[in-house]
Amino acid sequence: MARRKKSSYIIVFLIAFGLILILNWTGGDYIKQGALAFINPVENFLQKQTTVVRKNISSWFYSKSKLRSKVEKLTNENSQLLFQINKEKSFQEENVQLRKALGLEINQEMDLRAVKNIGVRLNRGEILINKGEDDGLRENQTVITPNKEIVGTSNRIYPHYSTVKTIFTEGSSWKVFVYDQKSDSRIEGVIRGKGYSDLELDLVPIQTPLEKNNIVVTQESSFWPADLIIGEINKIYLQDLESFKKASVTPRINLNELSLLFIVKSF
Amino acid sequence: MNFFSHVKKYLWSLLFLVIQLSFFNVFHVGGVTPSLLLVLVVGYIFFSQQPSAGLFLWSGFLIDIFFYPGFGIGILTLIIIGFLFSKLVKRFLFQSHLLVFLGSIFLVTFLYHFLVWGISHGLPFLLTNISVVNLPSFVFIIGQSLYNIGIALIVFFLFNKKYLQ
Repeated sequence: MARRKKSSYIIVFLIAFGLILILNWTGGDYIKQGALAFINPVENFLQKQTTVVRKNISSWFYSKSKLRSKVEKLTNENSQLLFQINKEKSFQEENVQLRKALGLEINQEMDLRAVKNIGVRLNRGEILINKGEDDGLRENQTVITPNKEIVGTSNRIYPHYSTVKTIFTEGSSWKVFVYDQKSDSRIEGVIRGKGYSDLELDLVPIQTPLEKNNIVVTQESSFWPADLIIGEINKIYLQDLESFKKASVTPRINLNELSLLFIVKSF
Repeated sequence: MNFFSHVKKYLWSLLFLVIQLSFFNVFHVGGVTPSLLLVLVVGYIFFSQQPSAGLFLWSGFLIDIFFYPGFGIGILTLIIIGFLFSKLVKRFLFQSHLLVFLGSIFLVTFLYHFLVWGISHGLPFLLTNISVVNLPSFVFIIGQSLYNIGIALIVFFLFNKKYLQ
C-alpha cells in the first residue's frame, strides 16, 4: 500500500516536470494569453464593482453622523446613476485624456501609444495592459499617465497583453532628480520600489538640502525620458553614520485608479 | 462520484482565483493581498478524505499563469507543499482542528515564499545571499500570513467537512 502511494507521488512529480518542460519549451504563451482573455473581462468587471463598493463603504464610515444617512442615500443613487452612464463616461474621459495628451506638449515631446490598464497584480507590483506584441510593444518600454507621471516599464509581452513592472516593484530602481522649488535647484538620487505604495529615495549626498514636499522626477535614460513625475518627499531619514540621506516618497499614482495610460515608443 | 463532484474542486479554485484578482486587489492592506489558492490547497489537505494531487497541479498552474513568468514556480511550489502537508497532517496533526489549521496556514505562507524564492533564484543562491530576505519582504510575508489566517477562518467555518469531502 505504502509502496503504491510512493509510486503515485513519483508519477505526479514526473507529470508535473513533464508539463513544466513542455509548457516552457513550447513557449506556453498561448495558454497564458487564452487564460487572460477568459478571466480578464470578469476580473475587470468585478474589480470595478468592488472599487465602487469600497468607495461607498469609505464614505459611509467617514461621513458625519447627521449626514450619514443622507450621504449614503445620495451615494447609492449616485452609484446607480454611475452604473448607467458608466460606459459613456469612460469613453468621454478617455477622449478628454487622449485629447489632452495628444494635443498638448506631451505628444510633441514623445511618440506615444494609448493603452488601458486592465488588471492589477498587487503582490508583484505589476499591472496588466491591453496591448502586446501584435500592437508593436516591446520589453522595457516606459508606461506613463496622461499627466506625465511614470507608471513603470513593460516587462512580459504576450501577443495581445503585456505586464508592466511598476515603480513599486521590489528591487526596481530609478535614477531621479529631486526638485526644490524654493531654491530652484535639483539633487540627484535613486528611487527604489518597496512593494505597493512604498517608495524610498536613496543615495542623496548627506550635505545636500532635502525638504518635505520636494518633487521627485526621473532622470533621462535609454528607456525613459526626463522629468516624468514620480511623487513628493514625505519623510526624511537622518542617518549620522551614513554618507547618504534616505527619504520616503509619496507616489502620485494609485495602481487601482489607473485607467488610460501611454506607452512611450520613442522620445 | 459524479462528474460535477469531481470537477467541483477545480471550479472552486477558479472562483478563488477570480476573487483574489478582483476583490482583494481593492481590499488590500497596504498592498498585501491574501493567497487564496494556497488557503484552498491547505484547506483541502485538512478537510478532504483524499487530498488530490490534481488540485495541487491545477492551482499551481493557475498561479503560474497569472502571477509568474514562464511555468514551474507555482506548480512545483504547490505540489511540494501539498505532499509535505498531506503527509504531515495525516501522520501527526489533528485534522479539522481550528487552531492547527490556522497555525498551518501561517507556516505554509512562509514555506510558500521560501520555495518560490528557492525555485526562482535557486536554493544555493538563496542560502548564500540570504540578504534578499530583507525586512520589507519579511513584513510582507507576516502581513500575508495574517491575511491568509483571516481567510482561512472563513474557509474553516464555510467548508469544514461540508463540501470538501
